[in-house]
Amino acid sequence: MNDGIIDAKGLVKDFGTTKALRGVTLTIRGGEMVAIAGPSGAGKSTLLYCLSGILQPDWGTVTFAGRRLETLGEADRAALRRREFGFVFQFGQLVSELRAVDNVALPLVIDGVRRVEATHRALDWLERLGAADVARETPDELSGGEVQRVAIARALVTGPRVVFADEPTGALDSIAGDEVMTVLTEHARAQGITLVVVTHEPRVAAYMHREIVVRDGTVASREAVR
Amino acid sequence: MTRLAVRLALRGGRSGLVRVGLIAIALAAGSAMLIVGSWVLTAGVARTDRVETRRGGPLASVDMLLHRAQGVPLNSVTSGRPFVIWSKTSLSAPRARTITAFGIAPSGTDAPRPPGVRAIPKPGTALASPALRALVDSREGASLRAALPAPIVGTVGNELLRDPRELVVVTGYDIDTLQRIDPGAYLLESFHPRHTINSLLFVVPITVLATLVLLLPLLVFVGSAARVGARRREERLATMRLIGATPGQARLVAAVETGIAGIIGMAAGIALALATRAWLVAHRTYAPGELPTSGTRLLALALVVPLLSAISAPLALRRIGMSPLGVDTRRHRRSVSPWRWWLLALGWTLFVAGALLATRGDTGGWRTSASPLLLTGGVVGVALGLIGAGPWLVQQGAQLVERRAARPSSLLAAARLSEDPRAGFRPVTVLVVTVFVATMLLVLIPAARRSPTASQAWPWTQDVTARPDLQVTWNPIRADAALAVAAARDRLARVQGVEAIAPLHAGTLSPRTGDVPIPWPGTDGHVVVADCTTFAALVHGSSRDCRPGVLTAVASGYRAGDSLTLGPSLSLTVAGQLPLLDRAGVLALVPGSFAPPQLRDLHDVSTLWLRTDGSRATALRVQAAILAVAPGSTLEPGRTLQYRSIWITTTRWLLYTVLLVVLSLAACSLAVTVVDQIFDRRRSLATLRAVGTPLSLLRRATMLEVGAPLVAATVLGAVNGSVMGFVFTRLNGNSLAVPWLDVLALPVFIAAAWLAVSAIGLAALGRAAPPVPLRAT
Ligand SMILES: Nc1ncnc2c1ncn2[C@@H]1O[C@H](COP(=O)(O)OP(=O)(O)OP(=O)(O)O)[C@@H](O)[C@H]1O
Ligand SMILES: [Mg+2]
Repeated sequence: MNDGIIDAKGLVKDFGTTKALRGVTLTIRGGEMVAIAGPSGAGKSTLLYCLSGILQPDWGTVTFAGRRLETLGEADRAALRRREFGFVFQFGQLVSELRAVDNVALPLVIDGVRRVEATHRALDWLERLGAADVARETPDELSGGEVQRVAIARALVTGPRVVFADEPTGALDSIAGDEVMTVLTEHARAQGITLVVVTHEPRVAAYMHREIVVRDGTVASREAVR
Repeated sequence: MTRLAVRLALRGGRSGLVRVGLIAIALAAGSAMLIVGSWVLTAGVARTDRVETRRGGPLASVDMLLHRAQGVPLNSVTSGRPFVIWSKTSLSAPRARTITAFGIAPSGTDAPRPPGVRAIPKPGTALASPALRALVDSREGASLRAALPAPIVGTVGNELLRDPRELVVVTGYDIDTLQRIDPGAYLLESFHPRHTINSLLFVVPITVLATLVLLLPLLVFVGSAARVGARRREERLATMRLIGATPGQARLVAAVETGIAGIIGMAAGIALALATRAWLVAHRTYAPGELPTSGTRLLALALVVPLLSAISAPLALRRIGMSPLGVDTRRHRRSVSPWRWWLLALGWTLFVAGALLATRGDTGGWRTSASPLLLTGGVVGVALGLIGAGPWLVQQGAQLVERRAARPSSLLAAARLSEDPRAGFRPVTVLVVTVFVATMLLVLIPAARRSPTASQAWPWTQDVTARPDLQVTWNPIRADAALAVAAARDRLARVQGVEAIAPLHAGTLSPRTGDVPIPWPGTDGHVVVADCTTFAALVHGSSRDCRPGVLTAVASGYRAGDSLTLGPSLSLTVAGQLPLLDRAGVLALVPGSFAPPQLRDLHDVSTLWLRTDGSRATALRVQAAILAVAPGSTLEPGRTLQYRSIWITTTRWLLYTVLLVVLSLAACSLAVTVVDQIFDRRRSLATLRAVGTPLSLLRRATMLEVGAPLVAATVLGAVNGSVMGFVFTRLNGNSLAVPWLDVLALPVFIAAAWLAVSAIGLAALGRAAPPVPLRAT
């Protein structure tokens, strides 16, 4: 099981008396597209945050491409999240004061890419995702589907190796949700990006290679590669 | 509904507690300041009145002069009613303090008694103030016992004292002795309480002005505190709308909340004021009777602040739109129109028009009265115009940076400011007006410290021995002053440690003297004739202008080279203006040795200016000498020409105090607003951190975001204020040095406040935005 890009072993995470994770072990291979499913409150989001280095597990280890996340400091983990990972959340993920294009360019600018160059690449990605015409608007002026496209562009613009998505279609109707999932999986496949999507919708999970079902903080079942 | 509002206010969660706490603290501080301020003001007026009362009436002394000049017996100048002879001199005490020594000689047992004296001391005995008694009983003051005119047999009450720390001795004499040792003593038939300060003209305007100056920033602070967490509260009310609440109830909740905070704040404010009072009384700065604790007054003062704030808090809330359909999550860029400049332009137009009218000279008629009106309108217009123009300036700057920014921190800050420039500028509104008014006043009120002696001339530290200059002054209406001065001069010249003696011919010129044209009808002038030594001392070390036939004058409207006519055959050239003094009527300082006899004859010498080695021993020797040869004269720190600088120093000190209070309040409002805005945006900030934005970057962005409007406000206020102040000084014909150092201190203070506010903001940032996407509230 050591051929995975992400290896998690015995993850335990408590929030006070709530046991969100009670020992999760899993491996995700490079280029794989994995759905994390399960009922509400099962610990899906917590698992995603632990795998991506947003949260530190209380117990257990997460290895990304041979690097042990718990040995890194907050600044190093932030840099890792910025450069190697991309994120798409359910909502509230764009900076509301920044125009769409600046939102997409922001991770590049933070990493020292020149503004002009970053804007250029951001526009390029917005176009590929079919959101070029909203580039100059601020998030408050966008529809839910448009916001998710911009967020996907922001997740992909840095050329990450893994994209983590937490309920990316949670706030959308089924048509918009399908569109968003199609773009996301298409580009992930094209770029060879590993995709980890948390969802409780079977329709969304169907886009993935594999489904991991979490229940009460443990892995309940693993579905084989389709 | 009110019950619900009370419940909501009390159970507002942590943000509700923070709101109530912040408002209560501000109100407590505000009402305490108002109460203590009113105490100090009233006590100050009462002190002046007491000093005037014990000085006796000037009419009495004129009668005495008549009596002495014409050799008529004392009884014939009195009305036959009982009287006292009353004299005032001063003595030095350790630590450079001064003892005020009164002499009293009654006409009989029914003679009028000074306030605070239960029984007039018998000849050869004295009463002392509590502070003097304590000093004499201490080891330090033991030697003073022998220097006092008579042994102390009793205590004088606070009614006679200016303040509880004052050193006062009241010595009893018989009439002949007192008249002999102090020919300048007064005859008094009563000690009428005198009220020299017109409370309608002075106390009321000052109270109103001070209250306004304090209340404005305070209300802004309360307003910003009331907005803390307002969005969350709105969300709650929007939900309540579904079960039948109305939008106006958000305001009611806010008012009730501020009301509760107001009651707490008021109680704490009264407690704080009483504690301050106890401290002041314990340190004998004030006598207990000077700070009356009458219930109604305390309550009335303490009520002003919470009442006004209960009104202001809901008003502040109005500005956050309250939609009955819930919270409008869609925010739009609110652009600011350039029309916001018109008020500023109007203000400047009025000001320039007023200034032009004023420079035209006294043409009289409508122009003379229109000019001050225009100038005032201009100042007010510019102050309001700055508030209007600020957001536009912030918007332009932010948009420029947003387009060009290479660094993510400036991009984030600029985007935020350009999204809502009004919200960005609102917390610095008080600041821009304060900086504007403060720079104007700082430029206007000239620096007194250019004179080395004047810098120490605080009215409450009469540090006799610390200064090289002493002056001995006689009552100017004394008939025999000239003789007394001549005698004293010879004696003082032999005192060890006295380096130079300069007689000053000083007096008042008034239009009534007929032969002296005064440029301003109705204004008294002041002329001092001194020799070059004194001249050098007065003009702090410069004898540059001490040349024959040259008049160095401070005379508004005159410039160097002008000639000033002082009489039919006397006209002098104005060499320049004294840096120490501003327009104080006509003041001419003439090198004495070159002074034309006419001018010298105009006034007797009434003051001897002594330059000493500055030691306390010398001061004590001088004191002994003048007590021997010149009783009735006053020994003081040399300050004939410093009365203006005392005024200046006091005014500046007041200005700085007010500035400190207002700026601190403004900084507090800023801090509250910054923290609240951070908590408002915590979801977006947390997400930014989750996707890998370093905290340090968000910190830099926050600092920029707070700093940019501050810089805009400071620059706007300072530039407009200093230009206006400068024009005003020119209009006053005032060539005084502008205290640029003080003007510069203002931005330094603001920078410090910025750092402090940012530090608070950064601390809030770390707490508000953990690097985890926040769950829905
Ligand atoms: N920051 C936190 N503080 C306290 N409890 C938390 C926190 N985050 C998660 N929990 C708890 O941990 C458990 C798992 O939460 P998590 O958000 O991972 O569930 P989820 O599977 O993502 O649910 P959903 O499908 O509703 O998003 C829940 O019981 C939740 O209440
Ligand atoms: Mg979740």
